[in-house]
Amino acid sequence: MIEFLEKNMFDCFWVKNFNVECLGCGFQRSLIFLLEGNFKSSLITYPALIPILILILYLILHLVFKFTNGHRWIIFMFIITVSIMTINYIIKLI
Amino acid sequence: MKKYYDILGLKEGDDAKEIEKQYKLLSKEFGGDNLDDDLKDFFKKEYDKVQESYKVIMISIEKEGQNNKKTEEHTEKLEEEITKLKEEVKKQNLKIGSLKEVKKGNIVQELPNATSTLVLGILSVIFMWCYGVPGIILGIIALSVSSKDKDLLEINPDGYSNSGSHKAGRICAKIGIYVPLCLILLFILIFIVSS
Repeated sequence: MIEFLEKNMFDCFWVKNFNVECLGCGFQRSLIFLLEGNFKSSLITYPALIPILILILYLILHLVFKFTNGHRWIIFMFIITVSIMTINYIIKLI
Repeated sequence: MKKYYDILGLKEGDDAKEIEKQYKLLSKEFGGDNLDDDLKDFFKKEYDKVQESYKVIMISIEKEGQNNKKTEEHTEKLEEEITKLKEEVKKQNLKIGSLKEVKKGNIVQELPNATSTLVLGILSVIFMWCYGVPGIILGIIALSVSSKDKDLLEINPDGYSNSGSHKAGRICAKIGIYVPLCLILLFILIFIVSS
């Protein structure tokens, strides 16, 4: 599966045309690192991946079990994830 | 007014046709020629009286007609307003009824699109690649899907068990729209400045 992913990576539209990285650049590489079990390099290439996965997992749990304060946690995690993404992106740009 | 009607030999409330008939008859009688000098003055006086009272009565009848028209228009308007108000009262009663039932705990409603709003809102962050364009689209879809639920919530804010998910979904979708938009604007600004 990892090999399949490595062979079939999507090219980023922005890198291709404008030579500028976008918000999602590093996502696929990071996912492959994570699947290999290499947490450290996964975090370095795309720090927001693990929070995103936690967020999706929590969303599914919330939809199934309907936690009473689930939506507050989701908003909280969502804001953290987005801020990690944007801060990481701005640092990358600079 | 009665005086004038008495002069013509009529009652108050007689219609215009009768008044005219009587007026013609009387004016013929008093306005005729071939009279003695003694009677002439008397007849002339009576003729003038008849003329005057006829005028006054006709003017008063005209005025009455105009007043009736005005009052009819006014009552029509009032009736329209009343029907509108009745409809509003019906709506308000329905709302009050549903609120009472919710307070009793009889009804636990669910917003139909809250789950999809939440899922789409969160997916908008996962699809933030390509400068967030797919994410923005998903966010907009989430907002449009949840617009009906928003109206429902405005009518009955405490009546739904999953209003939290709905609100969370909307917030996530808005963040998913505005953050990449801001970054795009920033990128354009940098591009303009550097060039």
